[in-house]
Amino acid sequence: MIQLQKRPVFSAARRRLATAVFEQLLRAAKDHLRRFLTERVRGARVLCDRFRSEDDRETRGLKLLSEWLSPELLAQYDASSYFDVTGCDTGKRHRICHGTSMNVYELDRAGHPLVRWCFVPNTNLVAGDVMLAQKVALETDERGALAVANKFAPKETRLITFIHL
Amino acid sequence: MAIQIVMDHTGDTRHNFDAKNAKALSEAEGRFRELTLVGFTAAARTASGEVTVTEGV
Repeated sequence: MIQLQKRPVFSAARRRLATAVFEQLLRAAKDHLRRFLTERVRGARVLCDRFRSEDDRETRGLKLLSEWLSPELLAQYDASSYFDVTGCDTGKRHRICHGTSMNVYELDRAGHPLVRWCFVPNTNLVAGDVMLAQKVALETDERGALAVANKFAPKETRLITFIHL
Repeated sequence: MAIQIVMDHTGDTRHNFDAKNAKALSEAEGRFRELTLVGFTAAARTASGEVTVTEGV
């Protein structure tokens, strides 16, 4: 048995109205989409610029640091991501590791870390600038810098022993 | 050509100036005074690589 379904038949005027409404909805949707995409593209550009600018700051900071390091210290930094400086007051050796905080170690005569120091400039600087400021501080006012520094035990070195049984 | 390099949160900014030019030198001295007044420490590096804290341009 076939059940016949009544199909709506639109008059020409109603069809024109439906088309006009549909076109209007389509236009509105297009406008929304265009606005949405424009905002997203603008947001992405701002984000991109910010990353580029931060990257640029980092690069300039490292360039400046490399200009202030002697060829020996620059080679040490390039090879190991740290460089050693001598404190102007005590003559002790300090190791400045790449970073922006908790990155300075006081070394013993054998070159092992004794103490970990944390002192940073009072403004937010990139790693290269922070390390340069720490170098300048230790070489010109070691006592002053360490007087305001926080002191920590050096990072633990984990020893793993393999035993053949 | 002398250079003043200012390190702040925007990264480092270089100000080149001719130390033999009185006007440029005066501007550099003014910049130096302004920055040290607000707490910047001025350091200079000698030709041998030694770092010193400096009190003037």
